[in-house]
Amino acid sequence: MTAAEVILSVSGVTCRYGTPGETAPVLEDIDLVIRQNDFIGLIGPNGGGKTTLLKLLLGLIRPERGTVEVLGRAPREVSRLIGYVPQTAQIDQHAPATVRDVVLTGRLGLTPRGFRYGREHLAPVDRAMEEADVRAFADRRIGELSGGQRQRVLIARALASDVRILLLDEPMAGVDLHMEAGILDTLRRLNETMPIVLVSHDISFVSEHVKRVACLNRRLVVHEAAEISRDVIACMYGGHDVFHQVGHTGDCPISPESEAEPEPEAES
Amino acid sequence: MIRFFSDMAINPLLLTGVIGGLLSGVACGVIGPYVITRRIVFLTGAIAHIVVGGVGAVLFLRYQFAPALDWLEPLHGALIAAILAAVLVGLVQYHVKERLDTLIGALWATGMAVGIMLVKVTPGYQTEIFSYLFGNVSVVSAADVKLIAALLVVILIVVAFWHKRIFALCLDEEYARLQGVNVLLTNIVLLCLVSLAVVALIRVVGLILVIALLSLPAAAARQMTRRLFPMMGVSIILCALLTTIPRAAVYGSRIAPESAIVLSAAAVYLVSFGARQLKRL
Repeated sequence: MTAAEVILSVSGVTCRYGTPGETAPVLEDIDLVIRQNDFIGLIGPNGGGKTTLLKLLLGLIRPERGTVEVLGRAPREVSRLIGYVPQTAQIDQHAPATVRDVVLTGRLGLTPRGFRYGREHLAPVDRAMEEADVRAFADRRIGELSGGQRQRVLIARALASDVRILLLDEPMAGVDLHMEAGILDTLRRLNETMPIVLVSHDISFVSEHVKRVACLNRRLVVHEAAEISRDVIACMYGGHDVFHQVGHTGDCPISPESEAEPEPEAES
Repeated sequence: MIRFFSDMAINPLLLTGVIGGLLSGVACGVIGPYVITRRIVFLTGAIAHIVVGGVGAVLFLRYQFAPALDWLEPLHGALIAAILAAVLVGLVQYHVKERLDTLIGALWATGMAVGIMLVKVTPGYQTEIFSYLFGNVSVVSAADVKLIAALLVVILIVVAFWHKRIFALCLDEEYARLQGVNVLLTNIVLLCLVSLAVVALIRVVGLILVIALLSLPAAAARQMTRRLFPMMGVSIILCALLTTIPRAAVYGSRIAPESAIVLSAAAVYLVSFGARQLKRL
């Protein structure tokens, strides 16, 4: 079996806000390889560095040490090939823009300066809207949509520039269960053609639907399977250091013995 | 109203006032929707008040260095101050870790204070600065109209060139950055456009009230439309009507035309807002 094409690789990355020596790193020694057909769920406690890692992958910040490569190049150079779905877009409820207008901004990096998007951009935008199932309300105002529909629009916007990888930050926040299932179907379909990195705090969700789970709490531990293991649960509660880095117990709020159950709402 | 049009034949300032009003109306009709979408109404107010400092500086310099600087018009000072203010605010917004509302308040008050201070030490100009603060649409000269027209042309050219980026910035700044847009520069370009619109409006409504024309007509237009271009169109029509009709309507009465313009803008906004709410019920 030949290994699928490497789309994204992170090696030896350390990252911190502030000066070395004064502040602790937010990310330490991160290694991660994402291949063509991957579907990774990235979980971890608040403040564990999930958002920072996403920013690194997007090229919004640079690592202090180590390298991040997307398709063999620096993320900044290939940013239009990276689709990104933010947790909450800043788009105002009252913004004078239709769904199509918002998805069109996903083509911005491919267009020259000017007043309008050329005709050649309309077809890819229609395709992206179809893939994300928002074509039906292309001409509705963005503020008129429900949370789940809005999330789909953000997915369409991310897909609009013919991306090779999709990064989603808590895509199911504020989305009801019914919509969630639909979005998942969409993601599974998209996963046939591109790898997906999905950040989530919902452990049962992640374990049911992704192919691999990566736990991030300053350090990254990748689990090759997606079932809810003891390690995964411990990671969610901020304790994976206990298992993997003996001696780094300082930031573990619970002892390994007492983590046994996930939160009630995580059970189905 | 009828007397306004019959007097136009005798008083050329009435005609230049109407033309100046129309042109500046188009300028703020184009820029207002960006201001509303990016939610920078108060930043616009701050820029307008920094411009007071620029006007004060020109009046002061003209007095100090007369007659060498007689060619310098207060509107030139306003233009320079407005552009400087835009660049300053744009840089400060991204490089200083301070809450934006605090900065707006500080710039707003400082600009105003500098203007008042400079005018106080410049004998004989107190009334002139008032015409910039509150506007004086009845003294818009042919030279003013030329300046407003030039500002409008610059605004239209920049919008034609930058619209996609500015709109993307207004919609979602973070995403625009990811698309490779130079957010810092685009934001400064937008603020400069706002500054040009502010200067174009000074003669018509005055610096204190420009905030009304850059926000209310566009906000009313938003109630009636769903996309930016139609919103801009409605906003241009509303602005052009608002900078001309109310002043003609109150012509000859004791009501200040500038107040009539702003109060009409507020009424238009209230009506459109109310109509929208009623439709939802």
